[in-house]
Amino acid sequence: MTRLLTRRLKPSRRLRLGLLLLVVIAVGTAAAGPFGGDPFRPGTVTLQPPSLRHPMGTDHVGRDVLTRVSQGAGTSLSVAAISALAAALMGTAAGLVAGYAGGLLDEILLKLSEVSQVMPQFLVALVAAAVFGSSRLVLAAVLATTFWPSTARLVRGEVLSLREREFVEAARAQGAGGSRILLRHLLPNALPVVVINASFQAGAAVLIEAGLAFLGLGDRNVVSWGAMLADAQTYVGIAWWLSLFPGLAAGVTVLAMNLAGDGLNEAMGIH
Amino acid sequence: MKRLRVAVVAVAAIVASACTSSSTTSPSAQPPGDSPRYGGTLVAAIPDPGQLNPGVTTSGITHQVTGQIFNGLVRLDDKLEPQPDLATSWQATDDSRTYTLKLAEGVRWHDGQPFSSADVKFTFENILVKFSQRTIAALGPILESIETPDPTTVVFRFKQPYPPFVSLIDEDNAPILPKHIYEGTDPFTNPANAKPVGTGPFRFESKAEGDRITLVRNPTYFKEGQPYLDRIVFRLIANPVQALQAFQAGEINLLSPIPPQVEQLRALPGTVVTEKGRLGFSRVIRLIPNIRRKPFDDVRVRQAMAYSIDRDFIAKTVYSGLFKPATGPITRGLEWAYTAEVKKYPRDVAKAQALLDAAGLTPGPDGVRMRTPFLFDQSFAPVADILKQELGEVGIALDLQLVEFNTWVKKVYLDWDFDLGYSQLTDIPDPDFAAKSVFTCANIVRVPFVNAEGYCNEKVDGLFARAATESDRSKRAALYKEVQQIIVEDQPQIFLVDGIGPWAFSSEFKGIDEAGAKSPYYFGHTAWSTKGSAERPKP
Amino acid sequence: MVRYLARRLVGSIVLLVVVVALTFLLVRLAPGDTAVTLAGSGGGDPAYFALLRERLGLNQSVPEQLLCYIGGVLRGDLGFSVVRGRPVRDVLLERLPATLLLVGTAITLSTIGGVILGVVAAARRKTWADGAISSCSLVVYSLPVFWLGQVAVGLFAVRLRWLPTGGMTSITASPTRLGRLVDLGRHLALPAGILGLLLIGLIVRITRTAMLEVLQEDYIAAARSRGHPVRRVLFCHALPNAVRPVLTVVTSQLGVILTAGVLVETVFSWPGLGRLLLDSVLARDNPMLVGLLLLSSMSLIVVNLATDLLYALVDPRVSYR
Repeated sequence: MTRLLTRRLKPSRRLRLGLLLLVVIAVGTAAAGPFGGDPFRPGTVTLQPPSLRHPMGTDHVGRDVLTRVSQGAGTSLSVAAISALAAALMGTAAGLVAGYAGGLLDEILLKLSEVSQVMPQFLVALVAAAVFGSSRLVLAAVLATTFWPSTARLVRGEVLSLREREFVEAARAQGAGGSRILLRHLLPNALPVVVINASFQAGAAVLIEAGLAFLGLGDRNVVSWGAMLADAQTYVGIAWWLSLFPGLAAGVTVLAMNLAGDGLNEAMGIH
Repeated sequence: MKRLRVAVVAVAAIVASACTSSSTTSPSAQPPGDSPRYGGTLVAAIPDPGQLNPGVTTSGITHQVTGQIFNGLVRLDDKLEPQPDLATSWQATDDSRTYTLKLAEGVRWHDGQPFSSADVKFTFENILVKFSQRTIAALGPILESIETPDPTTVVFRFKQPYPPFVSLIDEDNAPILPKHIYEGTDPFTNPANAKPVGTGPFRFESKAEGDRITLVRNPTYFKEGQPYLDRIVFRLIANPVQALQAFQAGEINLLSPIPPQVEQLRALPGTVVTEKGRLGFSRVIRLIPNIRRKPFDDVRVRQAMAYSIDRDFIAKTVYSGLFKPATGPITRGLEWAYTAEVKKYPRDVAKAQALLDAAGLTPGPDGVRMRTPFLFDQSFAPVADILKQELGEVGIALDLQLVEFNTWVKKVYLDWDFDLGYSQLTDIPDPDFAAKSVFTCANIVRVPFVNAEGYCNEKVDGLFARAATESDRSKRAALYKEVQQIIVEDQPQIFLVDGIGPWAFSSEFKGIDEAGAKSPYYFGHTAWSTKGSAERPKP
Repeated sequence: MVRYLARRLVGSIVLLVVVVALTFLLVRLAPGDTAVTLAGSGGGDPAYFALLRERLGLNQSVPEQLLCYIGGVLRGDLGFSVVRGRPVRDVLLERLPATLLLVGTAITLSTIGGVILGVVAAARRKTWADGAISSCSLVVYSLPVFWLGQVAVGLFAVRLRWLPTGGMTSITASPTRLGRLVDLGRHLALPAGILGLLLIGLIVRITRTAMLEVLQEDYIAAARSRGHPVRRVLFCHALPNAVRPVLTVVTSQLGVILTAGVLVETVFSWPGLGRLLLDSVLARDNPMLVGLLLLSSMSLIVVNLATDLLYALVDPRVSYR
């Protein structure tokens, strides 16, 4: 599987840049955990502009913005990772089965993906956050539920085009069973699409999480860029650093994910 | 036997009209050049109020609009004393069980129909006592009858003495609706809810959905000389940040800022930032533990929480120093009833921990003594962050659950499905109206904004009951003082900060903050523009 | 063709019913109800709430309510919003034009700009121009739209005072038609610009990819070898064949656009449907919420149907199976 990926992968600057950014963000988050201190701890110096001690300044209750921005990455990345991964798993499984087996299963999948297409993710997430509460897990679950049909559709398409190809025919002629063909032959070939799609979905998840938190429907137990931006609004005229840094952080993270997706796309010559 | 106690309203009425009419002002009361001028448009920012029937909602946003369109029987002045509105005078019997109100003459609804005592009777009997929850709670059980001997007289009879009555019949609590429009209809779906018809100084002109509500001057308003402005436009802006930006850009003239915005507004030239005219919005912001549940049933745990919180810090940071640390359940704004002579809970981590130890809540290996979910909505989020930290330091781990307003109300007040919540209700105009509903046993009902914590103390109940029927205010104050001392000792709620909160308006406009304790609902009566003309427009 | 049309229509209606049912259930699962919102703050008694709920039809079972609702929709009645004191349909119709104007302007501007930039990037592949356009489009697409909106308001409206901070029209309307149009344009500039910026990133990327693919085709090389000017080849020969993927993307991204619309309308106090949605979620205005989701789903279904039909008309390779 990995062999196949690396074989088809031509080095791409975008991909490398995207992955590099992601690594930097992830390392930054990890480093902020043990060393960065408590992101909720109020300090005595409130609304201080960036300085050597507080490179991103402090907020209205004296908390270090850098600490909060780096810990906010954890929130965004975990929502993005869980939802994209879950969607990829569900979508791939459903797409493979539906594409290969066809019939009723295929019909149901198509209808489901149509429904999810006409119900905008954000709107569903908005209503769901109001209904089920706003924990990270709920959000990730809602996003995964709305993401997977598109993955499934893509995988199904790949399977349909691969199903009749020679190497599959050959495998079948050698007496390979359905599950073996699915896992050994169709899955590896459909995987690049899944990875690309997942990286875009991860980017979308970060933006949706931030948007919900911005509207006041985020998880308050963890630091979130969207919630930071929502709080920062109040001080928009007097403390620019409060909204600049979390906004940039969110932008760069989504950019990294899109770069990765884009780069992969280019590297593998898939459109 | 029945000695009629005549209120000093007649005098007050003359004073009130003198302050606001341009013709009869004495120079000492109104320096020259400061008498109201006519004309001008005032643009205020409010969130979208939705429907505009003030009789079925006590939402403050709605009343900022409907307060200009409708009248109550009275309005409350700067000292929370009732002043004439639709009622010009009132008399109570000695035992405070019967009230006779005289209504203003020649009042007409905006559609031209005459107003009469029948409208008052209809509004109370068919709308307020059925659909307006504060009135239901206050009057429902004790209202015996309403009589209308003639078109300008209304008589209210109660089953028991009810001294606070006249304070509770302003537009906020008892707006008078037109009988000829609402009779025989469903007050929730009546088309007039979208196009209200009132008796007030401004008429409803139009609502552009999601954009603005426009009110125009009522040229035949029954109060001589009023109103002064030609138009009031409410721009519907939900987000306080956008409201501030629009104000900074000069697009709006009036807004109610959130505390951190105040400094920016004060720095803005030509801007008045004041708490004047808002006494009616005094409130104590407090935590509500569910004392049916462990460990909040233990008074030591509640006291420990009180000792954990640095009220000064919260007041200074989140409330920008506009609110003060709270000492007890009644706000300082209710001057006559408030007392500072209660037990104090300064932040003291050691004391808090000792109390928790005594309650059997010892720290686990991670230092945590207890975990509890904390329910709140967006407006409280900045405080919740601080509480998480401060309570965490004594070993109380809060699990912050930000929910939207409705979910919060349902879980806390209707389902009692919560451990810790918060509330910021006003305590105005009378402890019998507000504090009583939060701390007495009879109010442990599944209804929003009453006794959700489940606190029931016979002694407190007895004191409230005695205070309700006592007509001497100093004696009432003594009873409420005792109530406050008991409640602060028991900490059925944990009191955080106490204050009013300012509003801000362009200095082009005068008189906005001179419309009494709830000026945001009444400013249409007194507001005028310095750019207007001295000439009164012909009706 | 007729059978294809009929099949698509029936499918769309079934889809719509499913969406209505799902929305209805989702909304009904929510804790809190309209009665509470309407009541505002203050005391009250349980009998009053029971009465309120009965008035609001919250006492019936969910399937009953759903059936009633679908029956109503068929008659063109979307229910009554007690929160707003008006029929849902009237409010929706009143706020629809604002959203159409905003989204329409944003889509038009960004499609024109995005296609031109995309073509340029593809034509100058691997040059600095391509690099700049491609990177910028990716960056713009990645930024949180509400954040961008706030920065823009702070800069253009509060600091520079070039444009209004929000809303759709000024309080004092201009007496001339031209004046009103200019006023509308000034209010539209920021929200449509921000929404368009988000879209333009997407369209540039799609156009570029599609163009690159088309440019590799033999007939382009043939056209070029016949001596047609480059610009003509790009816009007359290549672009028409690259339009279809662009159209597909724009229509398939309509959901994303509506989403961004909610945030943009919120940031700019635009009196459209997006802000109505947020308000309705917060006020638990169930009839309005269901109506809004119904409307958004319906518009997406109609647009999908229309583009499919359009393809069928312009592209003979599409079969009506």
